[in-house]
Amino acid sequence: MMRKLLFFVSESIIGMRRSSLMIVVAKATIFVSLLVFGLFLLVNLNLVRFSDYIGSKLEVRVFLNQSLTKKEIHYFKSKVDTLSEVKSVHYVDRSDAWELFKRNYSSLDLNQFVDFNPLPHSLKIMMVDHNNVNTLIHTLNGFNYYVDDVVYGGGLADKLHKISRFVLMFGWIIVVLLSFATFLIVINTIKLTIMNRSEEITIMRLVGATDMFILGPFIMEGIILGLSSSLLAMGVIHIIMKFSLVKLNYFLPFMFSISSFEHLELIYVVLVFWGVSLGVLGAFFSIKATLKNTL
Amino acid sequence: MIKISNLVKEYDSGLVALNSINLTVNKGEFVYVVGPSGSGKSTLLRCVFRSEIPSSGSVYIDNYSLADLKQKQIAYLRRNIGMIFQDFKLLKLRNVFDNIAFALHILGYTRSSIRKRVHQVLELVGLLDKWDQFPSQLSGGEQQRICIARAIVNNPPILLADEPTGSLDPDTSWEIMQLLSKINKRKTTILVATHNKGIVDDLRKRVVALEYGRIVRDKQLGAYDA
Repeated sequence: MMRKLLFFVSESIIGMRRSSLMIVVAKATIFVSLLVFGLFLLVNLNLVRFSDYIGSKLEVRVFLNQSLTKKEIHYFKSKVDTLSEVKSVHYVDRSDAWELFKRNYSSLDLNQFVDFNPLPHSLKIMMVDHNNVNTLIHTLNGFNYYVDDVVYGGGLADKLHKISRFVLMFGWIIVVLLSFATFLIVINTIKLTIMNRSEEITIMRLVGATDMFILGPFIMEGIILGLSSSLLAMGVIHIIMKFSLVKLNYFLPFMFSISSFEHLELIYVVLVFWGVSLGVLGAFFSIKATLKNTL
Repeated sequence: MIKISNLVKEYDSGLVALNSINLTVNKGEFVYVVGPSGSGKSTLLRCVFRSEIPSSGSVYIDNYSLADLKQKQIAYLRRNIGMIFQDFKLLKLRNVFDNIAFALHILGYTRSSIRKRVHQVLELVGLLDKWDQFPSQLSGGEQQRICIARAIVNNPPILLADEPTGSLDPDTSWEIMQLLSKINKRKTTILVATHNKGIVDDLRKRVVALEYGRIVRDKQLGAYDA
């Protein structure tokens, strides 16, 4: 087995050296395709992050009935806390809320308009998944003894979130189409390199090589081709990210949290996997077609 | 060893290359298959090598029918049949050593035994000093010797030669036939398709003559015409 593997590796290196021009073309094709694929993936994964970021900022505010005792409030808070949609609940005392309000609008002389605290006690709720906001609001409204009003403060943010979801979905469609296009391009390119060596394949068959034996070196070539191209694409994406991040952070500081290097490792793994798969599948399908026409 | 029964090969164009061929070749025999161009000599050899699929009839090697072989089994069959081609079919971008060694790599030989066997076979065909040359650097006769060396390097029990002297001068042709005769002495069954009258008449062996795809003569120690 090891002997065979070594033979495949040496044969693939010989093969690649002999059709070096075609290999350079194939490598460039896979590299460019993977680079575009990787950049799209990067944008998309950042959009996921962006979407989650917006979602995490959305909160539901529950204004409590004025007549509730401290004990009842405490009971209701712990009840809300057990809801599956709820990540955390924070009680805001009406006097604290009023102080905060006054601090936020310090330029206004509020005493001129109201001489008492008009704000009720409230609960500030963070959600596990903001997509379940309607269910949560519905559940909270069911507690009408405790609840005076439920306010979801994420109208605009929600719209923004929906847009980002749409862009994300569009992005994924592009990524899938791009993957398919890359696959076809790679198959065609590898097919050209194999056509170049069809006589060799015929002779291999005539001297008793099995399909597996003929496939071996070509599959190995596919692996080497895919791996080297994806590593190259990885390097370029890394450089692009490194330099663009600095500028991005400078001009768009709020983007910092969504354009970090966090997802790069995942993208690199996907790129290598996809690059190698492309090489292997491209070689496999091309050589299978050639073998079919050889007796 | 080789048994052919009622073999027919008809191409899609309607051309009948072989018609009702019945032939038995025993182990260790040397058989010339002769006839004019288009008589079906090469087609007959290709049917035995399974690079051509018969329209009907059957080919048996050691009682195994070639009709239902799968691709993998065909590969194993070819490891037991050496084939010599008129156009040599050598790998142009590989040197003499690699051309022969390739057949042994397929069989999973170790590097050291490959070196040893290739050395032996190159000595047999008299081209030991040319091991590092490429096919384009060799004469037609030398290329044919390399093709023979590749075909016999793993000691196959059967050797098929399709017009092995087709593109060679008479002296070189004679040398090639001497070499095949030498291989035959090792009990290798040999079938040679040729229309070279000289080599058939000089080396008296069994002669099977074909005309229009049919066997018209089968004679021990025969000649090209009789």
